[in-house]
Amino acid sequence: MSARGLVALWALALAGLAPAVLAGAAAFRGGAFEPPRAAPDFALATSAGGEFQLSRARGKVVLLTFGYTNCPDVCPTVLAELAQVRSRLGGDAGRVQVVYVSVDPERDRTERLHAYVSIFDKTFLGLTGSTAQLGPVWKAYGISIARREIPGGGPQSYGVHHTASVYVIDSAGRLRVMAPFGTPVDDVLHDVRILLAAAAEESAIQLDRPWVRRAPAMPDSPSSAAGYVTIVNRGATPDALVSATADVAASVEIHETRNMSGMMMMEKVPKVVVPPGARVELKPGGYHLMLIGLKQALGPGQTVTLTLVFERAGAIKARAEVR
Amino acid sequence: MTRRLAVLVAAAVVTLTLAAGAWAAFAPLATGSRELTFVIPLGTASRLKEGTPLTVLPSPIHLTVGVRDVLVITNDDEVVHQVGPIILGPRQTYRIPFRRPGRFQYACSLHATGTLTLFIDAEPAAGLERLRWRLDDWKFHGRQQLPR
Repeated sequence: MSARGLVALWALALAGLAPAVLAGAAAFRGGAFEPPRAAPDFALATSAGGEFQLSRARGKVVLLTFGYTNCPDVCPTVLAELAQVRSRLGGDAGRVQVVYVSVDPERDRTERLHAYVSIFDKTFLGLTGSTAQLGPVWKAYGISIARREIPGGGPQSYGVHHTASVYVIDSAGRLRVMAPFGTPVDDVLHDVRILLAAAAEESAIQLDRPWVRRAPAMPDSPSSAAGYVTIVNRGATPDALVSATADVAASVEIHETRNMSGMMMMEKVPKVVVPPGARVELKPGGYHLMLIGLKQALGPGQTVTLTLVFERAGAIKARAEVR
Repeated sequence: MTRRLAVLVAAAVVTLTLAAGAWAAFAPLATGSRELTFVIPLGTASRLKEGTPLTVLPSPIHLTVGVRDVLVITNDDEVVHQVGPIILGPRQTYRIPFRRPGRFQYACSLHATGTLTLFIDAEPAAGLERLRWRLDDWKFHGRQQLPR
């Protein structure tokens, strides 16, 4: 075989290997569904007031579990572990929603459920309803429930045996993992991190032509530079740029330049909304990123790593060229 | 002459048996795949409807940490099936690795007892335990696998 043939064969072998390596990297530690399908949708009253509909939680990773407030052992364990998962996610915690669906509608009223889930984490949502409302949800997730009276304990004294798995639903609303009770916190965290990373890649938000204006290093005080980018929202829901960071700057703010009858005003803005299907340009004379406290001079040809954080899509990195 | 031959053959057989035993007891356990796969074959739903008794899954199921510790359940049927808490759409697979010994019990309508028990056994130590694991695997593993 010729040298060229060998190289071609080698390339082919590598190409064949790549999917296997990628699949290995994304291997879940909880039980995974392949191919993933849409998680059964439901809408129920929440402990925090209002209604929670699963399909409206798109953009977040949902950790769904079932239990009841009188549960002595299993439920508090699961909820304490999910609180740990959230706290260990740090800045990404806001991209995860824990949802706790009652298996005991007779005793679990919304106020009681609210007080219960809040002791684990203030952001946890407890959902309840009538048996007629909850029944289809239990069935759709394969939850088996058996009520056991506690002998001599009075009329409201019973336990509810129930499936205590944690269902992990990705930001596109697909059921990806069902982790049985007893799955270590590390493993749940590992799987959630895979989904958060994948969500950022599949994000509806696309960053186009990022660049940063050149800036000198000042000997006496740290200088700043402006960053620009076009944000495209290919999704069906509005999103908003809420904050940003840069590897070369101490902090980054979102500013808007306004022309007030000839006087240029620069104002800090809390966010830049990007409607579905829209392109929003951060450009000179309009919205821009203010890179404050530069750690070095920025010259043409250098690159700066910008991290833009969106309300729904989360953090997205972009390599910006210095011009 | 023939007697000497018989002694030699007997000695060879004993030596080989001892060697095989020693290998089975001390060689590290390695299987081609760490997965134990169960398949719900095409037509299971219609066979259940006809009332044909079916063994889709044995109970209990044994897995061994580090050797065969990934449970895979595949639904090759055209309708949704539920195995314990696992709901599988047509042609969908549930794959779960176990890294620690333990016991899991699931309510399962597919079993006459109504429960599916899963044992995750610790990796057998070299010696008698490993020898027993190999014998059991040879004896029972074939029965855990369902025809595809």
